[in-house]
Amino acid sequence: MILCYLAILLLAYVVPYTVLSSPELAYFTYLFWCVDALAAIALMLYVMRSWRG
Amino acid sequence: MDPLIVLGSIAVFFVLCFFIAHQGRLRTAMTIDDYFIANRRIGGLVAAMTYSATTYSAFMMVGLVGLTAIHGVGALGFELVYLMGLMLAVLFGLRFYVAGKKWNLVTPAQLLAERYGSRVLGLAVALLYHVFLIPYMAAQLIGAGKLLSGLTHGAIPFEVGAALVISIAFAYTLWGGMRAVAWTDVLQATMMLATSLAVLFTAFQLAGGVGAVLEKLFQEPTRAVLSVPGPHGRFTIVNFISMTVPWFFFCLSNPQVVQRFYVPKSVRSLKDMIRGFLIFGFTYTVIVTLLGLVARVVVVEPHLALGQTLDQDDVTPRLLTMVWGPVAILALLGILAASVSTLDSIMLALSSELAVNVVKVLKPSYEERLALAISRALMAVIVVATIAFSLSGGVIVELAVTSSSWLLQLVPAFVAALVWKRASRASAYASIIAGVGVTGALTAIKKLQPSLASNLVLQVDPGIWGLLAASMALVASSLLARTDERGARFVEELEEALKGLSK
Repeated sequence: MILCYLAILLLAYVVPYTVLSSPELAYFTYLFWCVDALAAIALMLYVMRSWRG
Repeated sequence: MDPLIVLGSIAVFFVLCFFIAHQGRLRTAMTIDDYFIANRRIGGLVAAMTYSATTYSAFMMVGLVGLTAIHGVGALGFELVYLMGLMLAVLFGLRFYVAGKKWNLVTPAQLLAERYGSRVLGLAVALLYHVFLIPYMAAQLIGAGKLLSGLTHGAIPFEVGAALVISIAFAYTLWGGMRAVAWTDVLQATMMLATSLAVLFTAFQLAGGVGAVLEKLFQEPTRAVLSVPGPHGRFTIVNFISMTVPWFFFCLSNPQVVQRFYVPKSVRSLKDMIRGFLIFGFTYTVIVTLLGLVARVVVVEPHLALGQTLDQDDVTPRLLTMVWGPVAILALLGILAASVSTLDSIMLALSSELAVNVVKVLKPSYEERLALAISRALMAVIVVATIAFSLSGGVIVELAVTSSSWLLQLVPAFVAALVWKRASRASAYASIIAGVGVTGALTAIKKLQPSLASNLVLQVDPGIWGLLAASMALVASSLLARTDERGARFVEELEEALKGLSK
């Protein structure tokens, strides 16, 4: 789970500065960060499912 | 905008806040537990709203809108990486909550004092919090002061606006403690979200609709705002790392946030608090950064066309002078609510640190009521220091990041306290001294030798090097020193208490 989260976090730093740095794809930067953050949030909600009491 | 209408609206809104705060006061006993953490009886929804209102400040609607409008969508990445940092709250929040109940903790520094068996450490960290948080509090005053001054074209001077906002926060924090702060935060968080949405819709209308905004943003040279590093190169990868790393740890480094792990009435409420905050945070961030992009079209571009430059903290005040009056007033109230809700939580957290880790440590014979009264009186000193700091100027974003960089140096000691048996009192001291020392030394070099600023090491925020030094010092000194029995027992008992709370 933690590895999955770290991968999502790493993507937030790497993708906008590599894949999305080309002029044709640069417009997707905003959308990418939103989707990436939503993935991280989904993972957090999943981890918290096990909390009881 | 007529200053009388502005002041009248502020008065009406804050009379309502004070009424709510008074209801909190009526239910609050003058004991340290009840005044500072509401006896750990806050429900999930209120906890989520107070967490949100505490975290999101004037920085969002003034600082982040301006940052997005001038430097582009890198501002969204910066803010969303912070939100992703909530994984730390998921990993450690339950431990703070359980430790708080088990050892009757009221403040974050008290956890360090208990875990490492050192009241001096608790006292030192409590004092460091005061020093490190003043720039962040000043950022709130600068946001509010600039906004009031900008909207009334200087009729309400910056200094008056700043003093007004901190006085309001001071008054009802002093009056009602945590219940007053948490209950008013519910109203204020709702105001923040609703008014930012209203301004976004109005701003889109002003710009001619979504299509017109997109068309303008996609044109050269404006389209640089849609990618990194942005039109002025602000979001280079080095700058992005420098800005995001200190904020990533925000939920563990800031006492006003950590204290919120102590207040939920159950694990379910704690879970609801984090869930609610994640939803609030994502929604608010998207609204604010979209507003920044619209502001680029309706505020910044016309200025650039005239060959004028615009300070990033002036973008929102300019935008609000262009929208329909009632919406501008609502937005103003939403931003002031954001400022006050952050200020009151910080003041309460700092006051609790003074009561528990300073007054009660220096004068253990003092009764709780007296320690509480002294710490509340000392809040006035914090208020004066914050006003003085805000008058020295500074950009909101920079001040906020500066605070986070220094507070970051306390994080390794907290994490180790909760999970690592080997971590000892000596390693906690070594970690904090190394972190603060490296951050201070690099900050001084940057200030005193501007010619070295292009050096890659100095381009990275000093707080990040400090964090590395603090972590290495903690690990090295823990491995070299003998395991502290008391600390090891603390972690074992915590692990034991956690069993059954997580599948």
